[in-house]
Amino acid sequence: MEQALFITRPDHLHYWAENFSCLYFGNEFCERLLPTSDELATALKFACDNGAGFALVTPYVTEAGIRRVEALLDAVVNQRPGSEVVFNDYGVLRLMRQRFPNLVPVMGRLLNKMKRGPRLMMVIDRLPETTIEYFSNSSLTVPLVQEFLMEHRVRRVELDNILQGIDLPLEGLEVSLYIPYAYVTTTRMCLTASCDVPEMEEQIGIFPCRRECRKYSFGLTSEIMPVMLIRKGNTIFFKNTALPEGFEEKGISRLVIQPEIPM
Amino acid sequence: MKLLSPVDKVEEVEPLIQAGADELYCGLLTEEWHNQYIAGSINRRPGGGANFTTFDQLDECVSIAHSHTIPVFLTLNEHYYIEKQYPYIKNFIERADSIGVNALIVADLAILLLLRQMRARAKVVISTGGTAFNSEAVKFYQNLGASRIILPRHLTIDEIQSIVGNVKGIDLETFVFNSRCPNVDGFCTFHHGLADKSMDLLYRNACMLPYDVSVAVEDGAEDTAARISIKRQRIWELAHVDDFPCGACALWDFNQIGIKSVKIVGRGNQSIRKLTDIRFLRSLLDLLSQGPTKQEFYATARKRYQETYKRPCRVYMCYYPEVMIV
Repeated sequence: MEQALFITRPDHLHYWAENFSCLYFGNEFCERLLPTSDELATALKFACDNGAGFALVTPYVTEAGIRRVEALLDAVVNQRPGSEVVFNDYGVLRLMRQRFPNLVPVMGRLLNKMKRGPRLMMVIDRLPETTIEYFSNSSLTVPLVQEFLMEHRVRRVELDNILQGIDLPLEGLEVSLYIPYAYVTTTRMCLTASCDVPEMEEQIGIFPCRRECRKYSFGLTSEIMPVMLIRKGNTIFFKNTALPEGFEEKGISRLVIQPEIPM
Repeated sequence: MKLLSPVDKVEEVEPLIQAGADELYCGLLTEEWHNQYIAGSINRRPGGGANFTTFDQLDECVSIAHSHTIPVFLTLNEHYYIEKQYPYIKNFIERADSIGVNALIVADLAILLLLRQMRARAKVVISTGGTAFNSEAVKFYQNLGASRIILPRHLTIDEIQSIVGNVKGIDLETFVFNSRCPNVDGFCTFHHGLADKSMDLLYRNACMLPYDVSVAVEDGAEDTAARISIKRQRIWELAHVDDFPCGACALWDFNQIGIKSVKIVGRGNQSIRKLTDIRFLRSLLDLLSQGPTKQEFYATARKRYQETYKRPCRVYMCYYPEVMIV
């Protein structure tokens, strides 16, 4: 089983260990946290020096954001053609198909729409089998989607380690599983932005920030949630360290290890 | 610029059109689907009150609307469906097509591919669940046959304008009223309606739960961050309660930009509420046709909002709050 290290900033490179064969670097949730060209160069050099594969992780992006992603893709393809790019925005996939045939697209976990809300576990015993089957499965098993992904050179898809279990027969696709943090939801109306500036307290919207997400995390607990939710930056996660039973037989060929919440 | 309104009941169709709706959208949740999938909705609204329940009702809705040359769009916009559901979905599409719905609103790439394969007559509208945040994503969907894109709520007016400037040959739609979802619809994996209203904590959307908030700080506690975060969490719980979130001021900007249609959220709202929302926004669209300045329009929009809904304008209930604070 291949293992990849997923970090969002160069000062987390110290998490690297011998068991890793690939470095994931970037951000899935916020274009403001895209790496600078210097940070990307540092990560690329580190991967190269350690004989590791490299995957640039990209978020959903606005018009301005996709131009920044394009510049990063230029840098990756120049320094390390054949690298993977985890896309979480179909616009980025289109851009890759048109301009970057020498980079390998990987379908990010945000585009796999399986439900992650932990509350499901409070009622799952009372649901019909058909409903449970729905929540353990995804559109990735639909042949039309698999054909589309093949046509777009997507051979790998990324999954979260959801609480209700995964039952995906994905023949022909490589599967990665993210451990231990699963994302649940994300926003651009970031509650963490300026969260320590009193005059901004009611300004919930798309406003400037000072990367307070790098400083604060918030726990959200409720009697109806079987696990604590963690708000980090603009995204809510939960932690699940238990690997799914028989995960290797389910086609999972790569574990993507997140030593810290990827924000 | 068209005004798009929800409709859930046949008897609503005529009054909504008379009030000023230019386009209608609706859902259809049959007993067959509901019994099998309950919280696994066919269209993001698992409750029957937000949907027609038979094809006959849909047929009647479409007939009335078409007699006024008003188009009807049908939602098939759950974020994903599994292969086992496809026989039902194919039949659903065929019947909707034969009834003559003008477009299907979809969020799942697989359904978009299916519609292309089936050569459905209905046009394809990409739901906000399609998360088209940039012009490349718009073109991605356009190449697959979409004729309209509903842009995500989580874009500023400037960001919307920059998308419009880089696409052509496709209609863009934006939100202007109700349900300012705090999370990005297409990337939110919480469930809607895990139980009926008798089980409140399961019925409510998860973003609306009264969480206990704790703060972890990397380099020492800060009381200000804790206090603000708890307050913001409480506002967050409200943001989806439909305390009349509004983007009416932005109608002026959208008209300038060239947005094709503006959307009122509200499948499941009472008829009187739908009518009020349409009349409020129709009056502002009529005002736009008289060519007011931006300042005049903003001032009138705010005044009419406050008069109609008996609430002040609030940043956290404003769809495009830059109109308030920039």
